[in-house]
Amino acid sequence: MSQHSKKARRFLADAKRAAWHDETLWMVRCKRDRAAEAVDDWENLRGQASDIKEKALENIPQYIRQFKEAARQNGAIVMEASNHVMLQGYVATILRSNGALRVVKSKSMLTEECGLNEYLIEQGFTIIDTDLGECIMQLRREPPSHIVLPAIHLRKEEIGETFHKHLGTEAGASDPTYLAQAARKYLREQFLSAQAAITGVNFAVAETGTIVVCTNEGNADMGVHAAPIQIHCMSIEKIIPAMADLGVFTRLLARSATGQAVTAYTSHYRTPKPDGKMYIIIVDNGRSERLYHPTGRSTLKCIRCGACMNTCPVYRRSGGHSYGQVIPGPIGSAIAPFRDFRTAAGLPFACSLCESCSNICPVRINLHEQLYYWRQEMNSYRSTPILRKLIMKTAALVLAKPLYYRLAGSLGRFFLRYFPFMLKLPLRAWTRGRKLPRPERQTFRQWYARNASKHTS
Amino acid sequence: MSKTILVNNFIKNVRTAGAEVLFSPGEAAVSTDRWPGLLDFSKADLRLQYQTLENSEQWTDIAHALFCSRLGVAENGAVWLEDADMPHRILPFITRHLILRLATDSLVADMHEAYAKLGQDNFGFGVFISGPSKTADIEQSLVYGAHGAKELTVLLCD
Amino acid sequence: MWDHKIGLFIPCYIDQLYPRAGIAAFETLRRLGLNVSCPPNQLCCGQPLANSGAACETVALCRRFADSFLEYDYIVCPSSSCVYHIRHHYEKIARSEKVEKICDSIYELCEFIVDVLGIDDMKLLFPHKVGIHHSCHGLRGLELASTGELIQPRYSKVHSLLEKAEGITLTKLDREDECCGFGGTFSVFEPHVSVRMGTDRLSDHLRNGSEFITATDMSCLMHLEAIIRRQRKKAKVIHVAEILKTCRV
Repeated sequence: MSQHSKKARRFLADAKRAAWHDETLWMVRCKRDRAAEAVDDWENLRGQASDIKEKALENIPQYIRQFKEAARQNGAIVMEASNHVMLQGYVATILRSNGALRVVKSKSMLTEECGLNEYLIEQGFTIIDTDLGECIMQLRREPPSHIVLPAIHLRKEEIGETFHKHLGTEAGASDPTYLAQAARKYLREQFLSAQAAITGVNFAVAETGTIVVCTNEGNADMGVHAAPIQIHCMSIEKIIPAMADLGVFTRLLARSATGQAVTAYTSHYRTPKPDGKMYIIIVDNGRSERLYHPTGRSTLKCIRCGACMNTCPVYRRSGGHSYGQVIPGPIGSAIAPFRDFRTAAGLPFACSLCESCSNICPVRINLHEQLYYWRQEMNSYRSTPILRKLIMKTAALVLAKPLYYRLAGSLGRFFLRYFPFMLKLPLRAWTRGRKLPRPERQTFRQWYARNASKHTS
Repeated sequence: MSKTILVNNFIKNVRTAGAEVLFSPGEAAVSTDRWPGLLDFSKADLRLQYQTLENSEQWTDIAHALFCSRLGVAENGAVWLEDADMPHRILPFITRHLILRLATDSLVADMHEAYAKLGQDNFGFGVFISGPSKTADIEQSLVYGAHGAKELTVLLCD
Repeated sequence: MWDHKIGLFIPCYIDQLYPRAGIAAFETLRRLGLNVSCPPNQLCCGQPLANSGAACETVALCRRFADSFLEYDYIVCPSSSCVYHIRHHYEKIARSEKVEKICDSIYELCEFIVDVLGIDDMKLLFPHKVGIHHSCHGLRGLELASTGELIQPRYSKVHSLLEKAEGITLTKLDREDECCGFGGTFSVFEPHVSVRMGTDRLSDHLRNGSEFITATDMSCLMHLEAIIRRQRKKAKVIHVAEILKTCRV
């Protein structure tokens, strides 16, 4: 049984929570459907977004160069980190050289991927996640389970407990408004005392050197504008060529993510504030490898809206943690093999190939084809269990030869019909919540041989 | 798109985003009775005065702050603010109640038009604001006022 | 059209486990007056293997499949996932002229009736409450119906054939385009999620009054039936061909 399957089983064991998780995310998907329907020519917009991203990826060195020049002219300090260690080092150096010990951070999957929090804490810095969902997860010392809704796997009572323990809210209090207000108060103190603010990046515009960050809470802005130092961490694929392209992406992002027409704040950072410093760190961390991979390249178009998670019937029922990756769900399963082929082995199979993710993706990533591709790769990989390989080979042989096929078929049907209990053990994965099929007396081929002639038209 | 449709769409979407829309015939509507201690940053002298904000305590108690915008987007109710409109970048976020004044002539249909209108303007910081700050991170229950303004009013004038 | 030679492809699992669905597909095409026959040496299309990551093992299967159907003008199959696999993956697995011809001439049963034969009303008789389960490969892969994700005009080829049946009531579901959780080997690699998905799909049908659950894919129905029997629920599964065979044109 794969790791995903085991963890999914654990998540599903709490049937009430699992049902709530599924229904809540389905509701988000329905909101997304309505928001998309309200836009004229939504499908065309998806096409445009995909084309812009393809173009950006094709000319990425040129756009990065253009972006760096523009950003430097704007007064920003631009650095390039080829991997997570360099990112960690750069951030720590920036903080030390500016005497900043207290840091607030808005949402960034990249820094999550690069283990930035853990590193900075180890180095003696205080780093506070300020997105409410991420703040909850940080207090609980758990990773987020969704890239847009980090705490979607938790019930309000659990969050109430966490806040009671860490923020001193009343015991047993679980009203979302009360809890959110308590977090507002706590985080305001953090914003106003922080010496530096780190943000993720949604889009980086090559022509103007502009960093665009989208939030609903306003936490990126509270951090960036209150602290003297602002640090924007972006991966290379956040580059888009021109300001006009933002028209396409800002129309797609929030509608796909939460069904809102736009996020509450779409912030454009171009120059540092007066007397402030603005740093931009451009991170590769394995992306170049994907860029030149014929299949994987398209995953770099991702704008991290999370729509593929909300629509995925597996994700909704297994929970984000079941994937064991920083980015869960369909897109997570498609990029996991690039990060670590072995730990990702079960993920392309944690999918019923329903294709809903590919249909919903605002930048048209062919997610189901990515996962189909990885299934083929995983199968030819050395570490695939010999038994599984043997079963595949035998099946291919049996299914290609009429005699073997008939023989195997009769055998299988015989057992299914007369001794189904004997198949229970080998087929226990099937019989856990299901009965075995009851075959009829004859196969179609047998019927056809006897009866087709009677049917002559 | 006719102007009436544009204005109606804008109003509908501002409300969907959780903000209120008032029609302002001019200065008179901006009443300090309604919003005690209102800081009207459409006035140049107040902008100047707040440019030299040093002490963060000066920010924290702001209850009502008004800014004048030159661009609103009908499809999503977003209103644009940039450096020139505010003396300090944190103000529209830290005020408890944010008031944005906008002329109906400043409305465009969608984000494509909005960015076309912004063009290559050299703003150092600019933001589209659609409704008050919000979060749904606790059980998807919508709560206004996560970190930024808890309330937002858009004053539409001709 | 009626002179054309139609080859009926009955996939392995229908042959072995659900011959009634195959028989119904055959009878439906015969009732429509078509020259339909089954090549005797047809076997499996290789879909289960390819979806499990062993597409490379199925080259011989693909070639064999193409050979056995080469003489037909159209190939019709009562299993949307098999049709999807042949149409979308065959040319990548074993490209040849023969394979290309097969990919162009294969149709799912409902798709064939609606798009190729152009039949609108089959004069069906089926006085029951029926819920249509849109199998994902048929729904998204063959575009047999619109989905909620794509913003496009709403349509459903299966629905349009069935809604005209005499006495039929089609169920309105809460989630029209959700997967049932079968997914081939997914059902055994991820048994818990698979059963949960199937149970949810089933509840949607029961809650909304389906007496029969029908689909273009017997494999989804096999999975749903297995859950129905395990949970001792009342609904019955029935392949769409078993309704189509009541046609009176």
